[in-house]
Amino acid sequence: MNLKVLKIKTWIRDNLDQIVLSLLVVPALVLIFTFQLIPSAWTIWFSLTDIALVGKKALNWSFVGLKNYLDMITDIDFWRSMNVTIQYCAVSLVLRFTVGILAALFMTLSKVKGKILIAAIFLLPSAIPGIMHPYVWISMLEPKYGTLNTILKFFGLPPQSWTYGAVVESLIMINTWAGYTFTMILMASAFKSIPREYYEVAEIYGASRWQKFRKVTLPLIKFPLILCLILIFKEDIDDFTYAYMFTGESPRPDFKTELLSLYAYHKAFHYYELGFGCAVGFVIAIIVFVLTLLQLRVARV
Amino acid sequence: MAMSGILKKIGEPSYTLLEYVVLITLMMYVLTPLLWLLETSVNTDPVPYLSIPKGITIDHFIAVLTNRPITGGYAAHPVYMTRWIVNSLIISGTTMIIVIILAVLASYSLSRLRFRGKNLLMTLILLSGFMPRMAMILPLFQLCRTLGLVDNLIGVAIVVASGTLPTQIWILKGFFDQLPRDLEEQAWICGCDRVSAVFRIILPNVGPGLAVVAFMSFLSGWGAFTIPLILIRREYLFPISLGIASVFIHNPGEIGLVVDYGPTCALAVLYAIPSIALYILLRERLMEIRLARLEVR
Amino acid sequence: MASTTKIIAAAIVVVIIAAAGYYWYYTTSQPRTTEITLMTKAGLWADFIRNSGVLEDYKERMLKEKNVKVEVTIITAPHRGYGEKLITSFAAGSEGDVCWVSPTDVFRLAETEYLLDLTPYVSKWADWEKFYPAARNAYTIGGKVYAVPNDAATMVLYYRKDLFKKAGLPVPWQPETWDEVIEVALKLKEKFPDLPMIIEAWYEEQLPVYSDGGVIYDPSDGKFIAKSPQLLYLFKLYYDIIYKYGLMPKEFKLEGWDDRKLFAEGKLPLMIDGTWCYTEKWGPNGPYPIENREEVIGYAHPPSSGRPNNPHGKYPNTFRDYAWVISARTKEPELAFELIKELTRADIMAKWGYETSHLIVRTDAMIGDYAKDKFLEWNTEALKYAVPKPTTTLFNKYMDALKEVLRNELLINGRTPEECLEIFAEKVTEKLGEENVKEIPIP
Repeated sequence: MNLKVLKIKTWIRDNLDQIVLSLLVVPALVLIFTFQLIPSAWTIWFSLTDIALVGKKALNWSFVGLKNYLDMITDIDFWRSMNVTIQYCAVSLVLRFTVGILAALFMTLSKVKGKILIAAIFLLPSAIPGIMHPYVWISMLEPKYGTLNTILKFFGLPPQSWTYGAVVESLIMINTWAGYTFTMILMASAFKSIPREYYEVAEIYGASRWQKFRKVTLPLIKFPLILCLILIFKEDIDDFTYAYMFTGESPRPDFKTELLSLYAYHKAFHYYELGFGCAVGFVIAIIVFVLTLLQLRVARV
Repeated sequence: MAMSGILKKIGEPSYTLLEYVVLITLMMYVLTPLLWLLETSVNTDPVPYLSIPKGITIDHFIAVLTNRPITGGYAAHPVYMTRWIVNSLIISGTTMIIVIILAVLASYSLSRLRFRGKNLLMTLILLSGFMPRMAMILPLFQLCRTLGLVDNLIGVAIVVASGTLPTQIWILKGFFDQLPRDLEEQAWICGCDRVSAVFRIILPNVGPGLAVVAFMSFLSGWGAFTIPLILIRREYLFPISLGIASVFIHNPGEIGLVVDYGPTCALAVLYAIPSIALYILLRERLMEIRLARLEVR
Repeated sequence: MASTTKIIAAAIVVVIIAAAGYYWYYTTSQPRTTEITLMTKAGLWADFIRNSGVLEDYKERMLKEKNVKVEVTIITAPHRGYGEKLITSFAAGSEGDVCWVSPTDVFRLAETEYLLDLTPYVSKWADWEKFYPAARNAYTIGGKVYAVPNDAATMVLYYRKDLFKKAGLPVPWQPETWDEVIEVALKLKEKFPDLPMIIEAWYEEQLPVYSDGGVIYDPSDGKFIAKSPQLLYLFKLYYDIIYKYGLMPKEFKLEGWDDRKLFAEGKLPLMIDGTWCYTEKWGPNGPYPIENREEVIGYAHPPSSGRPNNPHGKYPNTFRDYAWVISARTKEPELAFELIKELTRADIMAKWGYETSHLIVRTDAMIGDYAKDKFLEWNTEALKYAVPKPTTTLFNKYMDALKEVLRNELLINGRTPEECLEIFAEKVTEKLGEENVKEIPIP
């Protein structure tokens, strides 16, 4: 007995380092587990039932297995929503990335003057907290006096109905405006990390700016670039704050703004079909999951 | 070679002009919406669209900061904006503290430990945020209710911290990874034990990383909207985001309602200042983020 | 030595007993403290409660009558999406003890057994008899009372008296049928060809069904109506207003014009909207205040379709209202009910009705400014003709299907009323399930 205790004590003393280190991770893991994983598991459980928010079904709900998922696949609204979401995410991805990378270029590689001021200005949209974005943009989009329509009228072009008719365009404009800074910061840091010497060598060989960009810059930023694309897409799928601001509690009859996440929200809280809403939520989660795995695969390179 | 030399001479100037044009366009795209915010906060006669101010005043800012009741809209109800600012500061500050402590502990040990499941653990940490917030409202709420975190600013901070923690751990681990493993061993040789090695040598070297994490977690708390929306029910506990949402537009399209635009925009400007200030101060540090790579084993 | 110890021990025991005795006396003679939470909409609603002094009166009364010190905390949710937030709170168990609820939600919540049965409390309350029978019955399910009504609002056919006078039309005006309304509208169109829109009749989409004497839901068998002559009338009426007579341009809905603003600016002469608009939107504190409201805003009941023997009466109407409920999970049912009694005091309700133009559902609330308000006095009559809305959870789906068909088929695709009705019947059957709908044949 004594020998065993002695062995254990020695082992603890030798590996005290490792043990203490491992314990340090525990608090963070506990927090993440409690507030992210437990509710997620709960939601997945809900998605397998026909629970409703109110009404008879809220009292007598039962396990229905994959029925919600089957209903979802046969629901035409789900596919319409998927359609809207994919289009929105695709366009948003292209724009957010392009504006972001241009901004990053201006902040680092380009030859324009006043980089600090430029950086400060480009960082502004993400410095303004998210809740203010729609309100700030309403001043632009208001049909009668909004800035956008005033500019259009100034150039003799017809004013548009940004808050209603051209709503998807408005959403994309707002989302790009609010979301390009993410790309910008990542790509700027990537640009900065390319050692100057590479460019100087290229200069010696008489490369033009375009060639420098193609042969030196691009290959070295492949990793952050792909990472950016994945992260942007993940964010766009999840977030529906702007769509909600323009749509409200019930889906628009023409379904134009019905992003998948908004559709899940409406199903759960407007039609009270909590189980179904959670199922749609889980589908979104799976997409995010797959994208994250992809992101990690890239990180291995 | 000669060809590219000529191209260089011809092509170069026009690039710069093109650059400036694109730059100006982009900057206008970025700045124009914000002009309204600035303009209204100092306008004597605020309106919900961009206009030439008839007069300049800082009265709106004073109204917000001195907790003057602001009225307007129907059945004149006063609104106290200073309280919201205080609440937001509490939430953000607490989030920042929680995240820094937990992230430093976790990233340091994840960076230094070696064990077989490490990649798996890092992956799981990143994947923990896969469920969209909105789908989790009800379970999250029930959970917080049983833990007594509802209607509680600290509760909001804890939940926000748990949401941003995975990304912060990844970022901070990236910084820790850049320090050579042997740094502690060298300190050890010089006579420090593990603990003081950490404090004297490691931490100062990841200073930039800490700054970034502190700043990003503070911003998560400062801009948090959906979590407080779910967890806070009493008006005097509203952070700024909920406060603004509760007084602004009531129905889509019904612009020009409830509260004076002047103080509301002044509040929004104040709301944006910490973020802008932190961003500018730390922009150099932001560039140094290297997202941690998984170790190839 | 021992005896000294004994004396000290005895002294200590005496002190302890005395302290215990004093403590017991102190805590039982002091009022017990407790907390009640009240959930309502943020802004206008919560502030009214705070400013009206109800809470202070309540606390005083509780201290005097029941020797309890009650702390009332107001929980709020923004006006936008309040219904959803309310129901989510009940589902998650974080609702207030007393809550402000709309009637459709009352039924859903009662079905889910979230609400306290108030029958034993109201039967002992003398004032309960003073509430209008219709209002009292509205919240009685299966003989049990689940809510105490607070206010009501009906639809009003607003018209601009100034434009009427300019066009030589008689003022005051009360049309008996929709045909009369269209006649007047056409005259206005002739007289004022520049107006962007003549009539806005789209606010409460189901109204024409009631105007024609129909319903959208049959409570006797719990089925929604997918097809009926009255539904055909609805589509026909909207079709005529938009296409046949050109009284309402498509752009109004497609671009989301602000009709209340247009009315306030004098660019929209006829509009169907709620009672509350009179003060909430066009009053001096509203977003679009109208000068000299009494001279400019005319009001009439929405007419019937002209079908003889309309079961709903001369001027079928719908109404919206709110009521107070008590959560079934409350720990202080008695105190919660006392709070409701305080909130629905005649003078408080009269004040509320006057300040925000809502109708008050107590017969003895015609006091103060409320009584002097001609508009509210006139509007009270509309309560007689109001048809209650369906109270099942499928109502949302039904209305969304109706809105979708109206918008996509009628407005955008320009289909005939008969086609719209067919598509609507299909859609509603699909969305609600065959077992929940029925069709009434069209002769």
